[in-house]
Amino acid sequence: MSSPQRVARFRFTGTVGADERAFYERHGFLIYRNVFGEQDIQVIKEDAERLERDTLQGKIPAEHRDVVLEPSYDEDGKPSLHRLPYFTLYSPRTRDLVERRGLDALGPGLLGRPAWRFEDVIDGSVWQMKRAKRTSYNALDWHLDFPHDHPVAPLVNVGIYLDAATTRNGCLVVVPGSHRFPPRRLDPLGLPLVVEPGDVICHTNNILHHSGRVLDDTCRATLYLYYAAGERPAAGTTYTHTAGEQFATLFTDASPESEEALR
Amino acid sequence: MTVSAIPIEVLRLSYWAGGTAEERETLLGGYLGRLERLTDPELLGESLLAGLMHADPAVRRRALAATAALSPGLAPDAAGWALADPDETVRTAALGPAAGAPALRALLASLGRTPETIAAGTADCATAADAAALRAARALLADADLTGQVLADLPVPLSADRMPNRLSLSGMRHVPAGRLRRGPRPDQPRTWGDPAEPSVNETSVEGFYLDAHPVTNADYDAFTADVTEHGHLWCHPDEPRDTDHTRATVDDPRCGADHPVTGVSWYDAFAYAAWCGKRLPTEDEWERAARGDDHRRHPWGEEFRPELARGLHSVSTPDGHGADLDRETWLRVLGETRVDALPALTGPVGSVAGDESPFGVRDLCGNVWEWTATRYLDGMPFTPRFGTMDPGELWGEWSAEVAIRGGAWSSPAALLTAVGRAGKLLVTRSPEIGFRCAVSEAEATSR
Repeated sequence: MSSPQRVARFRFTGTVGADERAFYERHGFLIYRNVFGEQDIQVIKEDAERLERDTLQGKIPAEHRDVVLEPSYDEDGKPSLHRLPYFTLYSPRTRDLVERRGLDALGPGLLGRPAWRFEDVIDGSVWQMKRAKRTSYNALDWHLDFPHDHPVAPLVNVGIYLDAATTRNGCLVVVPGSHRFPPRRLDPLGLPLVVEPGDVICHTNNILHHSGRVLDDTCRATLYLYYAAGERPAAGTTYTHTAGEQFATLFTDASPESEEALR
Repeated sequence: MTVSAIPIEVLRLSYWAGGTAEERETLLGGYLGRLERLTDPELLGESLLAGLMHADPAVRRRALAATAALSPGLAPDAAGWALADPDETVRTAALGPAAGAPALRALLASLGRTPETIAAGTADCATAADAAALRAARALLADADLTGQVLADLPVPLSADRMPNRLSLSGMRHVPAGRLRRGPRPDQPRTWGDPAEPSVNETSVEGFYLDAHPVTNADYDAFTADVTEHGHLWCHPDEPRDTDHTRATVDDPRCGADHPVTGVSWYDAFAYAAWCGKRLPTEDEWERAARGDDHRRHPWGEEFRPELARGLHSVSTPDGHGADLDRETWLRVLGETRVDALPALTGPVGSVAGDESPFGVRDLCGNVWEWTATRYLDGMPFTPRFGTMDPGELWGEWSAEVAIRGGAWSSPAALLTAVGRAGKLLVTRSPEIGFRCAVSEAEATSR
């Protein structure tokens, strides 16, 4: 038995039930299984291919292109992107799909107050791809997305998994409860969240989490939506992630390797 | 005795921290020569001890021989210590004069085997010294009087090897290997007490034995008496030092001797299980024992039967309601209940006819929640490593929560099922949490 056996998985019905809210409040994360079907996933993947192509061809405004992760290049020098910000802003089909599936209920449902979705600010919704070895992005060290006192907080990170996430391909690893209590360990014990394509993982803005290295030959794409109940900044406000990461380094080893992963 | 009374030759040897063999022989020559001239038995004994406990095995060997020659009273004990010496040259030297109770005690301790195993010649032997020790032990065990005297003096299990003497499958039920579908079956109606779907729905469970009913207060108090007498021999290595294993309910007259033990932490439960050669069941084992091959909702069948489970409805009249309370009502009723004013909390184990699982296991639902060996949040084996943490720091530490099962005297019908689960910090001592023990088939047959 090497992967989690009894991590609770909920069914998303379009609203957030009391049990789901209680679980999320207590542990800082929540898994909904099978929210998106195969055809839904295909829609998002097609949008990703198109948006990556448009980005590489310079059709996307510079202020909406990613500056966080370097592209990777294959043997022929062809670039591929790991991160596509403002995804739903440029992908109406995906945006419509997200709304039809009722995901906008997750923000207010889990936060217990009105919430708004990142669309034209702070990178909007973000498609992210982890690829196998020898790419510029295949792991992310321990970090918080946003500290608790960030102006947009509290906030829910909603990850729509387009591929299976396993312990072999660097699935999300969280420290349950770390949004309520600071970790007591220099080396926090993480819980790997293994999910299937179409599953959705929600987690708080300030839960300590990371994703490990891709150890097999699979790739893993996720579309992240962000629902915030804090202040809504003006359109065009850019994304900054350093505050949360600097906070996280108070509790974890900021080795040269991990600093590299954060860049 | 003052240091100034110890002869200088003994002190020189004692403080010698290693060097050439020539240096050692010179010091030994002075030491042994001085021993022969000592006439005070106490001083001789102290001086011999200095050699017997020396860091250099060559010194220990020579001191052993000197003890046999100069101090017949000390010789048996000295041989006994040397029989357990980690250096086999010293051990072998002691085998010749091995005699009497000290030698037999030492041989039993160093061989780590039951007398039956030694007599049968099935002990693990890897070296010539092992074989010689076995031969010497068998010779001593042939003396029935001596054996009886030594075994009578043996502290309760000295090592895991002696656990088989304590392990008894009496009072346990066999649960054969089989499949477990975790949580409610899809065709079963769900209630608010049911857990969410687990990440892995099905698993196989190896065959095992499970206590027919929870450990009682009388059983547990026998364990704490042994801890008082022999020390913390059975405790988890992560347990806080000098833990007092006395149950928190020891002064509560409502908690009878034949009631399930409560007021015990997971560490307490772990140590008790080790004390009797068992272990805590995994959550999967507990659930399989309760649900049988047909994955039933309650040990006795699909439907809840209030007369078969000791829940809140048994100890209190919940505001005119039956056992089937919704969460809000239950929390309100329980919050308003004065536990110290209730005439009874737990009830005697095994006392309700018909409260039995398909494998003959009783009291699984109601009476007390039961500790398991499984981490709550992810269902993985629970391996505490909190020794350096203050118990107060464990709040919020997800990996310190253990799965508990079955519901207790304070639970409503929705929690008195074989599918419900909850998590508690391992240091929790609650009047609602007890435990029972398990043994794997493989563990039972290998002993």
